Amino acid sequence: MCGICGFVSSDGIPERELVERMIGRISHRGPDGSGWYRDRKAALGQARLAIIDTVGGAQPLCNEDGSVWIVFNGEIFNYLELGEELKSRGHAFKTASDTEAIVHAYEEWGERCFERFNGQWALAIWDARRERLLLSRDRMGVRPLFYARSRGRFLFASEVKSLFADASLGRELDPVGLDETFTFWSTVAPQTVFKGVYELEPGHSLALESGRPEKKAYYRIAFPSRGEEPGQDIVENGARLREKLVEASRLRFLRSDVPVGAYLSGGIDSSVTAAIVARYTSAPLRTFSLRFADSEFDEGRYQAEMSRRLGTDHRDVVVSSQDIARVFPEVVRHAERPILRSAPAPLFLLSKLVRESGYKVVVTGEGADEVLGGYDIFREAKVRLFWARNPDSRLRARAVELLYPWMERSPAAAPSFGRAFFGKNLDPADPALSHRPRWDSTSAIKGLLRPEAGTAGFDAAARLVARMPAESSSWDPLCRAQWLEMTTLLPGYILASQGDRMLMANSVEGRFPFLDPELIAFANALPARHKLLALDEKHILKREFSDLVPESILRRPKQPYRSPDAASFFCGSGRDWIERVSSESSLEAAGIFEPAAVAALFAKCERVGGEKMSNSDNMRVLAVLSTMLLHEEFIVGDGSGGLAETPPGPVTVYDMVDA
Amino acid sequence: MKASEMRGSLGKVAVALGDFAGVDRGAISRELALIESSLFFEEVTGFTLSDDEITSSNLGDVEAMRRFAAAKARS
Repeated sequence: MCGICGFVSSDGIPERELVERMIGRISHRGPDGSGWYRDRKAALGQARLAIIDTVGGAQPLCNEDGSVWIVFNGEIFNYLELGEELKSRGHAFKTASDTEAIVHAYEEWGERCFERFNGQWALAIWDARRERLLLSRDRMGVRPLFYARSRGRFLFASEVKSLFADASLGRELDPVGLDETFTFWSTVAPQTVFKGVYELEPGHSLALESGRPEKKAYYRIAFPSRGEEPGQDIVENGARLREKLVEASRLRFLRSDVPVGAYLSGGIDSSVTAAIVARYTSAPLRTFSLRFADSEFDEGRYQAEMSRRLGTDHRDVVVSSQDIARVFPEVVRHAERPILRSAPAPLFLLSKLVRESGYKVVVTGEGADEVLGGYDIFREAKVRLFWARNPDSRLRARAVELLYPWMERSPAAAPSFGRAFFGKNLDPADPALSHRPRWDSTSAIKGLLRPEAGTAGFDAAARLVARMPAESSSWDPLCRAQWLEMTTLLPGYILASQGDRMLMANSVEGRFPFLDPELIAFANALPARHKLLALDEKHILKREFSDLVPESILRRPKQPYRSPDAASFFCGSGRDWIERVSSESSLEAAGIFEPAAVAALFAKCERVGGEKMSNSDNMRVLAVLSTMLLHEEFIVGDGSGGLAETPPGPVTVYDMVDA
Repeated sequence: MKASEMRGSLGKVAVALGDFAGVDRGAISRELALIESSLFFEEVTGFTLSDDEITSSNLGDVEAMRRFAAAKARS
């Protein structure tokens, strides 16, 4: 795990000062050292978090004759197997790192090499012979990679703040990016919230040769046609799921030269991965959990139960609303996008605990909900589709009551509200039927925007639906909903604002067994009912791992990870920055939100201390605060955060210009 | 789904309906349990049920569902 950056120059020799500044801005991603390469056309930089071959794996790294150079962020978990194959084909290795396996794989198979990788990566290969830059990103978007053009340069980096080290690159928020965020909770790559800055799509590579970029997809999310799934036997499928998840967890736990810990959330997914590690490896296990001072959000009871059962060395951090307000500006600086939930802030504090405990790698349960049908949105969609088949049915309307029995203000408690909310847009032919309620409620944020910050005529949802594969019409409705979730929220929020950014802010790498490519391919080919059986989410996972996870966790009602939202910002903490960014003068100067509308919203929050706010109001508060912090940091400020911009030492230099 | 389309795959449907035996529905009312059964039945068979077909005798357990599916396929 690391941070990478660099650029190709069409206007003179690449400046070493620029690549050093770019590295310095992402030094939190790699405090163990850094390095850069420069020739007359290109510069590559890297800040290193040393995990595999900690002594010999410094970057940049090259092939046998020094004609192919790489900077790499991530892990290729099957690097040992690839290395053996490449050695048998005559490649000579100088190190024991996974990075070098990529260089030789590229020499051997060209761009087809990415199809062979089992891992999580963002990388840049500079083929000096062809003067060709090749960028690549993993299948699901675990690792980030951005690019932009400034005057005479094509720039790339793990984080946008590194691109902004080039002062000639304009810094402006993009109304289209904001519109997407205020619809889907995130942008959809290549769109970002910064004008002229793009994110490489998951599963894609980008080649830049003679100044022309060319993108290719080496992977696409796909499902079989409904009824044509290869395996229909749930017992056999369960056994195969177990094999794949055990192998994916083992790979991610054992392929490291530093100790690996595990998150325990109190839910099924992280319990299963931690239990697999405990059962199938002999390594001691350290687990980490997030607790909340507010009992409404706390899952400590389940975390303690699981850690006791596994006999782990367990640590937790208790987070309060005050803590969330205190760290929120730093959280937004790392997230580099508006965030509509406070949930990333506690995860930032959790990764801090991990780092302070001497760990820099953790295995987590992320991805299980997307891959195995765990989200409430999938259950909602099934109920809504059932209802849509006969909207006049009295019985069908009651199906809404099957959702959220645990919620205080559930549709069961308030059936008329639930029916009104879930009964909108009931068109069985709509490929995005599953996501309309979420997108509609999120879009309420746009009512706060000034006209000039809006995007009259732009329809983010229509643009996304147009990108759905043509064959998706033959998929099960659950699979279409999974595709939407894997394309929007997973890479743009779960793996970014709640994932990579909060982990790497404290120099911690996350590893995600549920996002193993073989496991995903297998899960995507399952009959939908094995994932979401009636309304029982992740049914096959619970069925298969009932021997490793206690009943109390397997059978507890699904509780999504949540933290106090608006309430965190009206509890007295963070007053200085909240008043600063929400003042009329700041709002006027930024030109994004209507000051009067924001004042009315915040006055409402003040009256109730941010408690018992509606879902829409919670999102609106978070949208205003995070967007204004983003504007302050990256548009008014230069994105440096006022921090030093020097590469972390020791610095490895390959300077072919001043050699 | 037309009945004639389902008849050919009745065996497959019967297997799929069998998966419902593993559903843990917790503490929900009898009426809601029936609604969940009908939701699953429609998903697997492709039929759309009328309200008066959503009964225990048609959907009360896996065997009832199989019998009902076969009857629907014959009709």
